[in-house]
Amino acid sequence: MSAWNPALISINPASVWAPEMAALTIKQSKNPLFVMGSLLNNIPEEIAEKSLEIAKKRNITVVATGGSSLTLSKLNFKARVIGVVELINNLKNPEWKGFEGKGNYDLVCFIGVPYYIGSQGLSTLKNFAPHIKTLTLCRFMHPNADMSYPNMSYEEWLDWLTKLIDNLE
Amino acid sequence: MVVYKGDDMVQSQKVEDNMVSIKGFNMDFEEIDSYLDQKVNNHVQDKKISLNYSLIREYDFKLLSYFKPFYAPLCDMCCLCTYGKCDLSGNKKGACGINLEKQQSRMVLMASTIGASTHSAHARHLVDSLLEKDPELELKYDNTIEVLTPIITTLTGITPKNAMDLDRIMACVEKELTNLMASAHTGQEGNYLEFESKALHAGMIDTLSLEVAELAQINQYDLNKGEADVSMIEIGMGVADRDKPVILCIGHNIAPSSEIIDYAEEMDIIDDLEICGLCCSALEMGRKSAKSKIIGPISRQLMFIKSGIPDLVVLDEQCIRADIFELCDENNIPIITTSDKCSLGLPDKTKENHYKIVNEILDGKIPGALIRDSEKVGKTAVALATKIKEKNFLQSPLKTLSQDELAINNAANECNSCRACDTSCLEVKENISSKSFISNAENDMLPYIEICSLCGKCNRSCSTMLPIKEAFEEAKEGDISLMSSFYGKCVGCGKCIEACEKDIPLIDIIRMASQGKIDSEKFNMRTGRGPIQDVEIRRVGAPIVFGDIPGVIALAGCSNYANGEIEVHKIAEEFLKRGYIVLAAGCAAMDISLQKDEEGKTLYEKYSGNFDRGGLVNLGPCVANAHAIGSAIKIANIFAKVPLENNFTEIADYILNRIGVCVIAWGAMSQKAFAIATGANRWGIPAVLGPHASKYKRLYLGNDQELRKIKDKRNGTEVLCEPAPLHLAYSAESLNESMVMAAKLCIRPNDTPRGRMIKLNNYVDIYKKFYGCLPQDIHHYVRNEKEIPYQEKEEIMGILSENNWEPRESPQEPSIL
Repeated sequence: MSAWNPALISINPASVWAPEMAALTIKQSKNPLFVMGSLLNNIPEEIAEKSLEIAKKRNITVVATGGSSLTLSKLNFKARVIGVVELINNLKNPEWKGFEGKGNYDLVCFIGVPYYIGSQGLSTLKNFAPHIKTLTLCRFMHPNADMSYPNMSYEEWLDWLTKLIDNLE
Repeated sequence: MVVYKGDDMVQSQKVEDNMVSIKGFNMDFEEIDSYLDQKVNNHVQDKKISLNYSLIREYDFKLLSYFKPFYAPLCDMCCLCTYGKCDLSGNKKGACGINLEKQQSRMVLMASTIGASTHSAHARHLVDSLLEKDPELELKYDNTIEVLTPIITTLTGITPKNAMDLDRIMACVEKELTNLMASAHTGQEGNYLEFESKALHAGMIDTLSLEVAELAQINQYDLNKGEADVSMIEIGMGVADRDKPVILCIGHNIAPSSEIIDYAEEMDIIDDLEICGLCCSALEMGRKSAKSKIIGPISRQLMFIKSGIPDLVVLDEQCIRADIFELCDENNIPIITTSDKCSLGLPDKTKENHYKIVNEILDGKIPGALIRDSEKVGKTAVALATKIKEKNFLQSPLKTLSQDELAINNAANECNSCRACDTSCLEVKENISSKSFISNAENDMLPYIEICSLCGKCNRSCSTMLPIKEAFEEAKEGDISLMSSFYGKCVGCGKCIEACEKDIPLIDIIRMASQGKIDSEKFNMRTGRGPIQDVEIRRVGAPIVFGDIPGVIALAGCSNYANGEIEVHKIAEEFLKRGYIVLAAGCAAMDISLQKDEEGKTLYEKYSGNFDRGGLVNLGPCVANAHAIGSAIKIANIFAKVPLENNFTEIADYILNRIGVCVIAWGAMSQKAFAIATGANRWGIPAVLGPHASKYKRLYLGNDQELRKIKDKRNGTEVLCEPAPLHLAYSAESLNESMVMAAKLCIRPNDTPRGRMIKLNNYVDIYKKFYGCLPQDIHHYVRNEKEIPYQEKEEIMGILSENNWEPRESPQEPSIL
């Protein structure tokens, strides 16, 4: 599996994770974080709904970046709001206390961050934050993540998000 | 009679009109004037021009202790020497010992130096040209502008009087750039902060070169010199009258296009030609003559050339597509190149008679010519374009079609889509109207829509992630509205064409789907005015420094937007409505004009060109970004009386802590744009960049977790104050974030309580509008209750309480020095 944009490559590309594996990874995490990016404002709301369902099932802290808080607010969800670059900068620091003051996170899931800036943020974490694992639940494969969904059609993506929710039980 | 002459009192026998005698003491004003001139000139000529890098380096380290480099590698490898390729992933070291972090800072230095070198080479060309034409021409702007060169004077201690002074400044610049590039060689610098300091130095040198270039060209070509009330000019893909010979100038250097305009005027045929420009050359030409036309920003380059409209393309330098020769060749458009920096393998015809050059091109003996003599370019271009039109050397809009595909088209329409219908089509000329032309354009798309296999490779290669495949799916069902919507969103890179397995000319498809829009695309924009007047600085200095004017937004950079040029228009409009001063230069200045309101007005027609509250100032082309930085320096000097000469650190410290100015380079693409942003950073001006700019690999981020410890110069104490500006270089994920971040980055420790309240009012309002909630970091920026925006006071008090906020004093003279 290759990156969505062929220009973006990685020496050690992400492992492609099926929904079952993604669910297991989330369940095994002791302190996960879920980053929901600005594309949630531009794509069908059902993606934001699925994403929130995932977060709620495992009580994962949700961070809204780039203005996705507009969509999440409409869904009556109050997320932490921060710039994605600022967040990555904080995550890079192993001593960061996190939003709850419990310390840095061990797993960061991403959805809805525009591909090119998302890829750069993942590159920072891959190269300078060995204490963090990253999992992307986006429609397109992210080689800079540790674990990633593959490139998919919209319908497949929706299906994989649903399967992930089912496997979080 | 005694006159004062030099350092000695000397006797003079001369008693003429210039003499004044007061109680037996005679003064010869002619000699006094001569002495003073000589003294000033000596002052300049004797002074060694140098930039004190070692002193500024110390400042860099202080600056970088507040704004730490943040790296996002675009590539995990180093491929620069024969030890490699080296795998640096996970911050591993390569064979030379460099790790990934240092490698990023090294790449950053290279990018900044490439950008600075490009502007410096541009400035050098203009200075050399001025030296040749009139080395003693007095350099000046509008009569009201006394602080002529804020950047040059601050950095070198001199104010250049003529081209000879500029020549010496450029010699200093060139020496510095050579040193900087040498630092990037394998086995030189080995510390990431040192690389960053040098990258900042390159950025600052870039700003110096921009100012040199502007001063040289404005004086040499008699361009706008700072007047706010400048003329409007037409912009858009539809502005060119195709009945006339169309000359398209692309690039940044005014020299060739200026000569084309001059020659056409001299021959009294300027109205018979369409002299158009793309990218910054267009802005330069607009300053030269309101009869020139602006086609648009760099994003229009591929689309306009492939339209086949230009009869002749004249290139100068910078932002030219590397495949321009092939593109023009495909469309039978001859090229004239004019610079050693972009010669495209064309034969050098600089010394040949221009008639001979024209004939050789018309006869098809050569596809174009390199002419390194601007005057000859003017004559050749005018004659050649006229002859091409006369001889009906017309192009087809679909030169990339195969013969079979053309046959399909011909069968579908009587017209063969040559687009010459309005002047030359013999068979069906009588029946063709512009409406049927649009219809034909749509028909031209059909063969391509049919052959598209929907493989999706176009989507995967698209820089801005446009759903091209989906547009083809809809087009196959007869709906081209999605395809048409890409016009203005497509950044014109053409990667989709290369990726397409069916060789579909996707840019042509978007153009054809949008033909109606393109044909009617005409907007008005204000021509670039050049520098800001001293009197304007006096008027707004206090309101800006104290915060009554909430900020100055300087829009800079290229057109690599995430969601089309409408975003930069929205940014400008949002801040103009709120009373910010909005400056613009380069492609951004063009892009904000490409929308109209309900009354058919562009932002330039709605807002004044004054450097004042709610003013929209088109400074000019990319090099005019010097005036944005210059205006901040002038505020420090004219309003606050901070001396300029050799006083970089104090000026930059003043700007950083007291002047609420923020660069937004929303579509920054090139190394030049990076150098401009990095230069602004060193002058203490933060920059918000677009999401693509994360691929520049480095940002400068402040600490958003706590208050910032700085100095109060008034009493020499350390104080805790808000982290303002929070970041120095930041890449925003979306339009929403750019608005919020820019409003925040206009906050300064120096704001008065009233000024802070105004700024916070805007910050909170923008935050609510674009994030749908209140800012959770507001407790950092409120110093006392008077500063809390009234409308949200109760909720904000709640946030303050949650964060154990306590009122604090603001520093009287904030500084990081």
